[in-house]
Amino acid sequence: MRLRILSVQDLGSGLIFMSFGAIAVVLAPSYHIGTALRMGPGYFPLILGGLMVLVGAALILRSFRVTDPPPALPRLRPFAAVIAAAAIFALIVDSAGVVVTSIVTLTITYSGVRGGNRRELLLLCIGMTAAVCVVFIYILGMPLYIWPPLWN
Amino acid sequence: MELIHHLMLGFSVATHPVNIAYCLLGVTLGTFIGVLPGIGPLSGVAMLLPVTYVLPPTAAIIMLAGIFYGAQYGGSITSILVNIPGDASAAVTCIDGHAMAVRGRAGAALSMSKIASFAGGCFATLMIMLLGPVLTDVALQFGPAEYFSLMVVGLVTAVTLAHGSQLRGLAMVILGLMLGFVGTDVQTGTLRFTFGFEKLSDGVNLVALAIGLFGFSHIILNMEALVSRKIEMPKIIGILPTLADLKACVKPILRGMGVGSLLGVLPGGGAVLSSFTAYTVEKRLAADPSRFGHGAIEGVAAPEAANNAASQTSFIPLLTLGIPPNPVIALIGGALTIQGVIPGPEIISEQPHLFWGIVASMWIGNLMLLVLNLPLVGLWIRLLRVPRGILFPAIILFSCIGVYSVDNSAFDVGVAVFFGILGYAFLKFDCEPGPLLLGFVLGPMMEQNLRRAMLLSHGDPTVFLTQPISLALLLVAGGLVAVMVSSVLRNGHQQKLESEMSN
Repeated sequence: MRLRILSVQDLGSGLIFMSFGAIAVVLAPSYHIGTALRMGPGYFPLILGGLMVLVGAALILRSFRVTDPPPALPRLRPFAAVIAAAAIFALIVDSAGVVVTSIVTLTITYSGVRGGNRRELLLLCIGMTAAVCVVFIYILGMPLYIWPPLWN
Repeated sequence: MELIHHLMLGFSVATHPVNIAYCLLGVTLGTFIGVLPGIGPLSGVAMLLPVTYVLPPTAAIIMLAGIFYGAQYGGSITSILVNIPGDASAAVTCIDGHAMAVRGRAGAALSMSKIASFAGGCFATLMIMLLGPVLTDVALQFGPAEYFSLMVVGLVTAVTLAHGSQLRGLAMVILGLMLGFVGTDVQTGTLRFTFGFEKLSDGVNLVALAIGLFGFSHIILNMEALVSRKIEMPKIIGILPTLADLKACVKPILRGMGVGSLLGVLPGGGAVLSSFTAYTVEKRLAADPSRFGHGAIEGVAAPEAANNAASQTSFIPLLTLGIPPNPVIALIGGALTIQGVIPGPEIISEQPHLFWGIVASMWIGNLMLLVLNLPLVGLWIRLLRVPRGILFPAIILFSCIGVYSVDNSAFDVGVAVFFGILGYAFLKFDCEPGPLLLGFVLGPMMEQNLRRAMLLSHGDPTVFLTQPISLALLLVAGGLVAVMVSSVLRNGHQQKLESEMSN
């Protein structure tokens, strides 16, 4: 008999949950498990990890039985733009200074928006970068460079 | 008498010029966040959390609370005028609010939603005043066993009330509990699930988790749906509701206040669920349900009273039991902790100016919102003409800086990216992220209390059943599970309920 996936939601989330549960079950014994009287740091994770694997498995099984309407197809562009913008922010913020980081983050995110234009982007960068410098550096005194420190 | 004394203390704190200023700032930012589609109070609070670090605790919480209930006021403006929910809890206001606007009654819908919000807010403030001290007395009797059982009830309720599949809701709670393990085990000092990252030894950062799971993922979803078109807005003629409108809305507002106040306190309840429930209640009770969906003013008044009441009563469990009932309150609890105030029953007795100051500020804040929203509604409408394309990059940048500034840690922004990817997948798979965050916040507390209770009882697990309060709480949890299982067996009453609401 061929199994048909009726619920992408159950299958997909079930796989995610099962992998998290598996990680917990595999790693928990390396911490001390202990007994019910004196629970070690591994006790709770082992139990919940096991439960997580079971619930994940139940969801995967259910995906062949219960029908859900198919989810809206993901679009790559907005996803990639937001994730890349935040990831690059994390990578460069400590070394590149706020001005460069802000402009890069804004530009990458903006590239994920449909129907943008250069003038709007330019205004966005100028306005937001100035706002960030004033609010976070001058008023709140966050310890960040404004300009990249070239020869440190 | 004591209450009056407390209120005087509260108002003396809340009317301090600094606190008034931050209250005004909070409710203004809240309205702003509410009006803008695609950004809710959670992202708003998370983004502005770092700003509050430099403030004294009372001013910080007054401002964050203002953002939360201010967003309920602002959300309805967008719902009524452009038929896009400015805020998730205002989604139901679109149905009849926009229908009224199409019929040329936008002004009446707007003013009625504000009056209802104001009534709901005042009632909720009263509830906090009355219930706060009572619950605190109860909470002071709680030992580890009671706390553990209470949190079990909380998580079970969150699963029960979760949107969509309850099995997935359960899985999200468990995953949240497990994420709470990451970091150093308090009792033994063992590092758990840090995967070699030294920065994870303090655990997953709450703000990073929340911004990734709720902020980033929702913005991606909003960008997917974004179609650059000119927003058509109906003309507003006459801002005041008629006498007949007011008469028709008195009872719905009262019912909405009640529903909202109750659901706000429940874990996993909050503003969104309460507005939907209030709407359903009105439709059921109406003499002519067919008017709903075609501009029934009760369909605007009841949900708006409910969501504002709920957002305020959800402070009760945090300030008395130390348990946040919804993600926004969890973040505000995090802000309190960063300020060195541990949320719990000690707040009322040891920091009465903080508790009563917040309560009094809610009243003042609601008054400010009424002024901000009614005569100045035109100002907020202009905000809707800002191109949405520039909004998202600005929010992403502010979110990144917000996460970074919690600990001045770029690593935390990376954590937010990880949860952004995960959160996006969960949204696509119809898994509501709320229960995960609740599990994450309650997880470490639950584990501590479980282990402490077991130690105190010398390893006797029946301690949870022999203590009367704990037993009662577990029975409630058991009852909820039974109801849930039977409704799952009766094949998806949730779907039925939801289809009824969307009709």
